[in-house]
Amino acid sequence: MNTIKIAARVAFVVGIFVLAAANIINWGFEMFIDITTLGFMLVGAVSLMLMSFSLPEIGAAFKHAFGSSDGVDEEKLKISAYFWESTARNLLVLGVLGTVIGYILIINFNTSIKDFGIGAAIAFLTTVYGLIPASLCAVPALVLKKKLNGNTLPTPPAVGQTRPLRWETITGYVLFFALIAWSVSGEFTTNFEVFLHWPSLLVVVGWALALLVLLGNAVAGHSVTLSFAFTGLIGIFIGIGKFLSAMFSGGIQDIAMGVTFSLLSCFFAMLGMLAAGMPMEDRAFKAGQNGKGTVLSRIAWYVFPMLVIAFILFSQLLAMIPIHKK
Amino acid sequence: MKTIHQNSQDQGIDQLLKQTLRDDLPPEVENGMKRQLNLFREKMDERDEVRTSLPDRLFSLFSGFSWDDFKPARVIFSRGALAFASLLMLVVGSLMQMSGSPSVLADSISTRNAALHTFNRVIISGNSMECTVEAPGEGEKAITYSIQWLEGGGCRARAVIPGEPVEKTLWINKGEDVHRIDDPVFLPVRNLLSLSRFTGILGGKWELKQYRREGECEYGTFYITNPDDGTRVEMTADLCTWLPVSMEMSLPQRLEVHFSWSVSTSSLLIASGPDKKKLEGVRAADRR
Repeated sequence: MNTIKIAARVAFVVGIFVLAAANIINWGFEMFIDITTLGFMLVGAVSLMLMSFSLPEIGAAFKHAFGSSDGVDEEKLKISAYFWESTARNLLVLGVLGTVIGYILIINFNTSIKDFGIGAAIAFLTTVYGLIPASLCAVPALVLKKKLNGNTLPTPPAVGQTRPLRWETITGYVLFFALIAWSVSGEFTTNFEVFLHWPSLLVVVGWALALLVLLGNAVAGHSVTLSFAFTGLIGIFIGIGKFLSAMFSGGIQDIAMGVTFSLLSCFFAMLGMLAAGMPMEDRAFKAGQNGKGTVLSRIAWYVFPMLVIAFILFSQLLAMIPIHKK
Repeated sequence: MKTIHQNSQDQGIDQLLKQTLRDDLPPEVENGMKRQLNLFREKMDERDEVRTSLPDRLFSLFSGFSWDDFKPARVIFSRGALAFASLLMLVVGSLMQMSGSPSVLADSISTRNAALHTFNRVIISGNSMECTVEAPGEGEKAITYSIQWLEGGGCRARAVIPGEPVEKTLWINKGEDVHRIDDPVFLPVRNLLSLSRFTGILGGKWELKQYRREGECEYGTFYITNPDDGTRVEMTADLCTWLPVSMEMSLPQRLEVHFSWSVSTSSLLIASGPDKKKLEGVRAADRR
């Protein structure tokens, strides 16, 4: 049985390398490698890990994934299993956030038509850089969960026992916001006003707050993630509505305003999910409170980023269809 | 609470216990102990005062501090305050969006869309373009060109030169390389002699100058910069048909170009509303 398991794991890793090699041989190495994007994903992943987990917990998770986890304390195993699941989730959302940032920057940067196409392709590469490691992180998460036989929720801490503020959390937040600020300022533009679109920011934060007030503590730590995800979705559909109505009766600027509103709503919603929602969920899980709202939350983690990518592709396709009014 | 009833025997035992276990400390010892106790209490109070000094207050922020202890937070983060704040943000954000507040990103998107649409439209309409070009010279030495792209890819260019009785005509066949044209009269307009050269101009970096609305239609004026040599042209496009209307070039020579596109009915993709009647009229004229 062990031989079969080892063979399956080797086949999985070899399969990924073969797929990568085939694409590189066909399209060229430089098409898939972008150092800036790799750096963004690496620093972002590390900062998100530190926001929710301490260094000993992160070390233990790697040890349990790559070494033996037999005979390990069950509570530590639960944390390790959840660590890999949360890392997979973070990588996926971070990849899509990077795509949105890159797409906005390349639209704003004054490029020729040909260079715009290349820049948009590099922006979508960030999603690939998020999807591949996310799928790899799902493997140890599922393997460790299987060892727990479904009992994955940690024991809540004793009453009155408080968790002190850790230096890892502060470091993670500082690193994350520094990364976002550096990405937004970009190599080509130094103005933040491209991203500081007050209508989208106010509507996203306002809706998220309203949903938070309504949901309250009904779904423990998930309410912030759900609020931002629903709000981002609302922003997408409001923008699409404006976009479609302006195609026949409005001007090009009305179309552009619709796309702008949707794109920046996605940006603020995903930023809120990563900075506030997901760390709160992780803390609630480690405090043994994660039973309620998990399914809805998982839908928000995985479905909302995919909808954002679909929206970007949809708006790009629609933008290429000219409507002649005379 | 349980009531204990004492009988005479219990009261006797009680008295016996009080006598046996009475405090037998001498008064001076008792007073000394009380003094020590008071001194201890005073010292405890002093230590509490030292603990509230600035460094200790700062340290206490990171050890066991709870937001529940911070009373203003209870007001700021109360449900009522959050609900009010969210409503305010929604109203203000919606009003700003409806009023069309300016956005750098929206301008960039509209410029990018205009570039894509115009580029595609010119390629589709490539065989129906005529343009007049004025090359202002000194005094009355302005040369006027008339350029017509022909069906099948060729081009006819005519130049009216002041002081010359006959206009010069240049015919370019389909597939002929315009780079090989060395007639100095037609060199300034070489970029307009073929569709591929003209779309090379349109493929540069677009930058919005202004939008203006005339009646039902919008016109956009853009700067297009060639990424290779940095030359810049100013082009005005009709944003209803996505076709260039006029263009100003500075290098190698200042030129003013006015385009005329005789768009055939087969090349229109969508016509909406009242324009359908115009389309019917054009189709009827074509048949005649």
